[in-house]
Amino acid sequence: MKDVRQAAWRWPLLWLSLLMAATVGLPHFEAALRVIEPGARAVIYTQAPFGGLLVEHLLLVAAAAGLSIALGVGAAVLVSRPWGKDFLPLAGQVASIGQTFPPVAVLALAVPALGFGALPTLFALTLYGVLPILRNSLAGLRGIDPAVLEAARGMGMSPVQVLWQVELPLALEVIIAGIRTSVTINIATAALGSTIGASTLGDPIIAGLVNGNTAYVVQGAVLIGLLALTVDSLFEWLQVGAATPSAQPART
Amino acid sequence: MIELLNVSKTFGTTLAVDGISLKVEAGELCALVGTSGCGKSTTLRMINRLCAHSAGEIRIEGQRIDQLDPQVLRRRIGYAIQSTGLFPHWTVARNIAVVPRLLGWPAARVRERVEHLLALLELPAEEFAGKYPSQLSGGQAQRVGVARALAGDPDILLMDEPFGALDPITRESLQNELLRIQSQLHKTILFVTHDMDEALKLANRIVVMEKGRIVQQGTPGALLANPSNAFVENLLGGQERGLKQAGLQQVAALMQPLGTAGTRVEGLCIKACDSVRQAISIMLWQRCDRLSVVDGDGIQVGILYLDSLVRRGAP
Repeated sequence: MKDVRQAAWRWPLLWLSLLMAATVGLPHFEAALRVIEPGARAVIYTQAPFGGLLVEHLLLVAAAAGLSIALGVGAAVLVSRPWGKDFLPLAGQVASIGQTFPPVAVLALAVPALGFGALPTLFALTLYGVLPILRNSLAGLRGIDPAVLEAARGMGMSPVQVLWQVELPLALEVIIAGIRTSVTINIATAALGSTIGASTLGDPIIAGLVNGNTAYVVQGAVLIGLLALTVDSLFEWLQVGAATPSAQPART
Repeated sequence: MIELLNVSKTFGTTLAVDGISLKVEAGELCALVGTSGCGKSTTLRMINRLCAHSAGEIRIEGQRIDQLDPQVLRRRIGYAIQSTGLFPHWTVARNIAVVPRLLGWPAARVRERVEHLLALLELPAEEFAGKYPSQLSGGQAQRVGVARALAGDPDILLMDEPFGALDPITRESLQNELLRIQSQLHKTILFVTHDMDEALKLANRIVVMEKGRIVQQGTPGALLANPSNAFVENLLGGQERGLKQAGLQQVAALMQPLGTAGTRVEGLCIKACDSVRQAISIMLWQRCDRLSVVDGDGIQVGILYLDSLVRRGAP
């Protein structure tokens, strides 16, 4: 158990150091990038510093994740209460249907309603990010042994105590897995925000595609890839920590 | 004390419990026996308001339960179920501490209570307090479930087939444990089971339910002597009733006492406090028609004749 936790710590650290190194060091790799695009006038993306783009990209994803978690977990909790049961099938269907929707389509549909910039991107990311969280929260809450809930009520816990002390801790591992999927997808999807005027790590990619400069594309892609790996491995570590003891093999 | 007066429960259009009246006196262990779906678990769950009764009146210690806050009521009533319902993310100690913590006991008192209960159920604290439910055997988990039910020191204990999922040997040891604990604590216990042998062994009083109604209630002996209908007779084991009745009688009641002071007996003998059923089994196995009866120290106090069992078998 302890070994797994310690090992899980090493990956986020490794990816984070690589990400930091790339953010600061990419502009110094002109020679290597020149190989990809020998004919271009410039091979280093200089319109904006990578550090700034990284922060803006992260803020956008984090804001969307915060909203998605509030909406997704909140909705799952509501429809799993006795008085919300009528909406349970609806929530389940919305979660499944939403999964089949391509994120680009959500983005394209958000622009006419919200205009250009960070706002429609935030909206699209939130909407798309809600679905894995909602689906996993529902699965996590409904997967709890009914006898445990019966016992919790029978011991005299109030509904709020049952939710905070029993249901959410037991569903936490599955909920975190949903958040992990949502955030990882959104780190990639946020780059699309650059097409509608949001400032993200997608900027060098879009600029590269428009100008036919593969070196720009590579710089954006490397940074987004490293960011996704960092965050994903961080969640993996969190998930190990949230695992209920019942999921671990008995030591008897 | 638990009182039910003309209590009914309907689910939609089906009548699960049909106007039952029942009184469990303080310190009594009352067994609610019946086949699956006869309404015995529903009856139990109405008492701690996990399910609301549709009609009638339920009182505990003289108070109507519908006038009490359900959470306050449940913290006053111990509750143990077949599947234990232990919280998998909490240790054994934390599981047992649930009700004391809900009652707002100071940490030191909670800790002391948990240690006391672990000792009472013969689960050494140093070995078990820090374990998680997934690391326990079925019997150990059920012991923790019973400890958790007793944790808030409730006067009333509701038990819903607590030993139903255990193997026969573990079940018997837990039944003996419950009898031992009850002889120390004198709780008011309502115990649901479908196993008539378990009820005969544990209960002071047995209530037989069929299709939501009470068909008969009385002491184990009274039920065996006079089953009110074929259903009760069937539950009591039909042709094996004689053996079950013998299981309730002590050898001491039917033996021929020795006139003079007895001597130590080696070899074939039976204790005066053993059941007549055990005596019959030994006689059948050893092909003999008499047994020396001894006291706890192995000194002979009488003789049990097979003859007298047949002639004076009735209680």
